[in-house]
Amino acid sequence: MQKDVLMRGALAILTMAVCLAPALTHAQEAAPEAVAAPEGYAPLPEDNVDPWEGFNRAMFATHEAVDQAVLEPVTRGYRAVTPEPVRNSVRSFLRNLRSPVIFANDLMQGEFSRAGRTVVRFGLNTTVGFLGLFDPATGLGIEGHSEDFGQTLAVWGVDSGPYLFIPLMGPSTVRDGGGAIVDSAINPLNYADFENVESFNAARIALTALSARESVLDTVEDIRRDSMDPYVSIRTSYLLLRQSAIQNGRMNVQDLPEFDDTYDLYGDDGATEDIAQHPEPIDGPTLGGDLAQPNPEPTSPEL
Amino acid sequence: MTAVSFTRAAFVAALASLGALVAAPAAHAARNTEAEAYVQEHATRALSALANPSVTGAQRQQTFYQMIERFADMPRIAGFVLGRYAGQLRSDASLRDGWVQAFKDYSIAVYEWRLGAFDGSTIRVVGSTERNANDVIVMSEMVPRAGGRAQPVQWRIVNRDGAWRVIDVAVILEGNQIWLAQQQQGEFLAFLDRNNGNVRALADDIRQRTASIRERVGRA
Repeated sequence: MQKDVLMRGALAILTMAVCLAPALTHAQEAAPEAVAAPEGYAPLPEDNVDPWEGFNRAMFATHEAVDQAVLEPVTRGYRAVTPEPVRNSVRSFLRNLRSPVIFANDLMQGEFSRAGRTVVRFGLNTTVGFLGLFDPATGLGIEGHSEDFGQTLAVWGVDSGPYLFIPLMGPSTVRDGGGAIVDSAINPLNYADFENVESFNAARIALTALSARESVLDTVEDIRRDSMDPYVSIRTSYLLLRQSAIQNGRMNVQDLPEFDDTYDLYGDDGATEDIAQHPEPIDGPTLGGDLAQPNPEPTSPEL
Repeated sequence: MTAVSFTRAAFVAALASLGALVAAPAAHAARNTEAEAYVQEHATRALSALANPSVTGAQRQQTFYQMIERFADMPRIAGFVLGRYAGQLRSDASLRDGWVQAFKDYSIAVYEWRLGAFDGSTIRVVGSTERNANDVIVMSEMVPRAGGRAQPVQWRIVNRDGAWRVIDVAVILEGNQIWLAQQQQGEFLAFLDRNNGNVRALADDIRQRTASIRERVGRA
C-alpha cells in the first residue's frame, strides 16, 4: 500500500514535469519585460513571481472551461440539495480528517502551542463532535487553523518560486505545489488499511473538492462578474492570503507598506488638507458626469 | 462499562483543561484608544446610513458617499493603488483629478455594494496595534443582526495634521488577512503593465465598472 502511494506520487511528479517543461520554456521566452520599480515603491509579493504567466493563463482557461462545464453545476446541485448545517458538518468532518497533517506541520514549524491546539481540537471534535461532524472545540474558544508543507517550507526559508496555476487544484506556487505532494505522502489516511479504504479515500478526495468549491461559489461568481482580470484577481488574492497564512495571521505591522508622500498626488497642497478645509462634503456621487457611459457593462475578458 | 465511561469523561476533561491552556489569549502590543474610538464612531455611522429605511436610495447613496469621503483618505489611497505609476499624475492636474474622482466613485460604489450584504450589522471594535502613534491597525468585528459568526475586519488608519483617516481595510478569511488596497494595487498594476501605464484607460475602465455596480445597487 505504502509502495503504491509513493509510486503514484512519483508518477504524478514525473508526468507533471514532462507535460510542463516545453510549455514553461515557451512561457518564459514569451514573458513581457518587467517594468523597473522606482525608488520608494513598495513591492507587492507578486512582483516578478509569475514568469510563466502565458502558460498559467492557458491553464487557468482550461480550468475555467472544466469548472463551468462540470464542477460549478455539480457544486450548485450539491448546495441545492443540502442545507447549510449539513454542508458545515461535511466541512468540519473533512477538516478534522486533515488534523494529523496539520499537527505534523505545526511541529515541523516549531509551533508547539498550535500543535497542542490541533491535538485538543482533534480529540474533542472526534469524540464529543461525533467524528468531527460538529466542532465543539471552536465553541470552547479553541479556534481551528490550517497548515501545510508549503507553509512549513516557507517558515524554513524556502522561496515560493514562480506562481503556478494548476487546473482543478487552483492557484499555487512551485513550493506550495510540491508541498501538497508531501502533505499527501504524510497523511496517515493514505496508508490506512481497512475494508473499502480505497473507496473511502476516493470519496474523501471527491468530497473535499466539492466542499472546497462550494465554499468559494459566491466569491468566484463575484470575481467573474466584477474583476477586470479574474486571473490577476485570483493570483493577487492567493499570494496575499498565502503570505498571511505563512505568518499564521500574526502579521508584523511594521511590514505593511508605507502610504508615504510617494503616493501623495497633491504634493505640498496635500489631499488630507483639502478634505480638512471642507468639513462638509463638497460633492456627492458624480453619476451624471463621467460615469454616464454609453456601455455600462463590465469589460471582463472572456473566461 | 463504568470504567469505560469514567475513562471517556476523564479524557474529555483532560482535553478541555489542555484546551483552556492553549486557548489562553496572547499578550497584546500597544493599543490606541483614540484610533479605536474613531473607527467605532465612523464605521457605525456608515453602516447605519446604509441601513436607514426612511430615505430614498439616492439619498442613502449620497449620505454614504459623503461619510466615506470623510472617513477615508481617498486621494492618498488613489495614489497608492497606482504604485510605480503614481508619479506621472503629479505633473498632470487634469489626469490626477480625473483619476482621483473615478477611483473614489468606484471604491465607494464597491463598498456600498459589499456592505449591503451586512445590512443591519453592527460594528464592534475589539482592539488595536500601533505601527507608531500616528499609524494604527484597529481590529473590529461586524456582528450580523440575526446573530451568528462575526466577520473580523481590520482598519489601518493614519493621523496626518491632527485628522485620522482610513488608508486600508483588511478582511480576515479563515484567520488570514487580505488588505484591500494592496489587492487593488496588484490588479491595477497588472492592467497598467499591459497598457503601457495608461492611467486614462484604467480610469475609463473603472468608470464603466462603477456604472455597472451602481445599476446593480439600484436594483437590489
